[in-house]
Amino acid sequence: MFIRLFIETFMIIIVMVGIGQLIDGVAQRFRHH
Amino acid sequence: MKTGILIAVFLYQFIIIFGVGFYLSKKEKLKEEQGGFALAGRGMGAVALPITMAFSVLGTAHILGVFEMTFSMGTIAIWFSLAHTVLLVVACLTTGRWVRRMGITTVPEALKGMYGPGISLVIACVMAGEIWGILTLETQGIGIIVATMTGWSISHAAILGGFLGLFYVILAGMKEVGIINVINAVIKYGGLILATVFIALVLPGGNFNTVKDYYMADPSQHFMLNVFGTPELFLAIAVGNIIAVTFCQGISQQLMQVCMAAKNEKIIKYGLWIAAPVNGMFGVFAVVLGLTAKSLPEYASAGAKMAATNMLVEMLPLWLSALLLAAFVASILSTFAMTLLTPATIFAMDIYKGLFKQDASEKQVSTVIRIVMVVLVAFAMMIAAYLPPIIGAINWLFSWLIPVFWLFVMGLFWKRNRTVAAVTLAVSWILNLLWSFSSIPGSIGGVIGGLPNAYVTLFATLVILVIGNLLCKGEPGYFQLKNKAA
Repeated sequence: MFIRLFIETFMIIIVMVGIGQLIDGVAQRFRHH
Repeated sequence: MKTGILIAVFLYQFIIIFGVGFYLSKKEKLKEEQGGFALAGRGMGAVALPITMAFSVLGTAHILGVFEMTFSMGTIAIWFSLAHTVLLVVACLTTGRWVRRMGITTVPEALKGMYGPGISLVIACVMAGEIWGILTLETQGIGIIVATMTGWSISHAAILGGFLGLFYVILAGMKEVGIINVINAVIKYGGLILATVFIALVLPGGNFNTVKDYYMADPSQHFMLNVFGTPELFLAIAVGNIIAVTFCQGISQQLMQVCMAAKNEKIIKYGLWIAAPVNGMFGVFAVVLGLTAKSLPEYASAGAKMAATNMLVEMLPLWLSALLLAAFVASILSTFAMTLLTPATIFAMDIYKGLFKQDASEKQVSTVIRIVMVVLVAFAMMIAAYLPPIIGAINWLFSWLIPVFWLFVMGLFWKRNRTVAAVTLAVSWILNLLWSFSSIPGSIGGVIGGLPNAYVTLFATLVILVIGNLLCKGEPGYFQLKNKAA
């Protein structure tokens, strides 16, 4: 139970951070054009 | 718990806080930097910055609030922590970098340039009041945790915690907070991990399988183990928390002051990879401990508020209870310090320097910040004795800053109209008050009547701001102006 919740939470955090960085990267590229 | 252990926990904090504080205050006296006290001379680096960001918004609600929510709603309570991950994504990639780029010391200072001094002053007062409200809850939290784990009285523990919190920041300001946070990070996670492992080892089978079996045995309890809960819970708890936490703390001085203290924008952007897991993973331990307490009848009978802390006190050996108490106290103190420093900075910069003494030196500003912190902590100790409910109070407090977040974002990128801004603030604040202190939500009933304050203030803010900006003329967004000038 603990390990599953640990992994699920960690994955959700990484996905959130990744999506954030991705949107930021696209926005930066869009601004430079 | 024996008094000796309690003394050891507080002595540890005392030595760390005074050691770092006195060392830095002596060192800092040699160089009078711009923004030295409030903003660590804008020199916070790649380790202290993300850890301070993570711990500035991790306090009582992450521990007591999540224990309580888990008891009644299950694993969905993890979304209180995950809402802070969304907040840190937004702050590290947008608002935090923007306030650092603007070179300001307080958020109202930015709004002064965008909407004029009147609106900025009103926002300064509301923001300082909102953060001080959180300070009263942190004072209460430290009192409750120490009291339940040691048998000490809540008011005595709150006063002792208040003094420690004051010295966490008063000697050397933001730089002191940053260094103590990095040292305490080890204690916080070390205590939590060891306590969770120990609880697992003393359960039958030496793991959490019996806890899982308890919830699996009853089909109506299956949702308690699901990180996404039920659709209704997800809407009310997960989405509700994301809205309240992100749009309030995403502009609150409590987190923005840390970003303003960064060495540069890049450290904020890449610091996200440290800040987000450090804050977000804390919830895993709180949720697992909360679920375990509910599955054990001898602790479940104590109810949502007390089950988890009672379990920890009774199941852990003395040394580990002491370590966990040190971890909880350190977590609350880090937020406590920031909720003390930031309203004092707003008062010193936006009211004392902004209205009364525009030529005030850095030393005079630091002195005013220190005096205001002493006054604020004294009032917080008095209010904490009345024990307002933590989660309900946080929901109401957070909703005050939701219109400020959108005024800031739209004022940077779209349009600025002072009348529209004033109407947005007035309507959403009145709605927030009515939603908490009148019978209106009850008489509306249904899904809408049950929505948290954050939904109501967000809806009012977006409708008035968008329609108002479309219909009324206004000055172009602040960054648009800057781009044109460049």
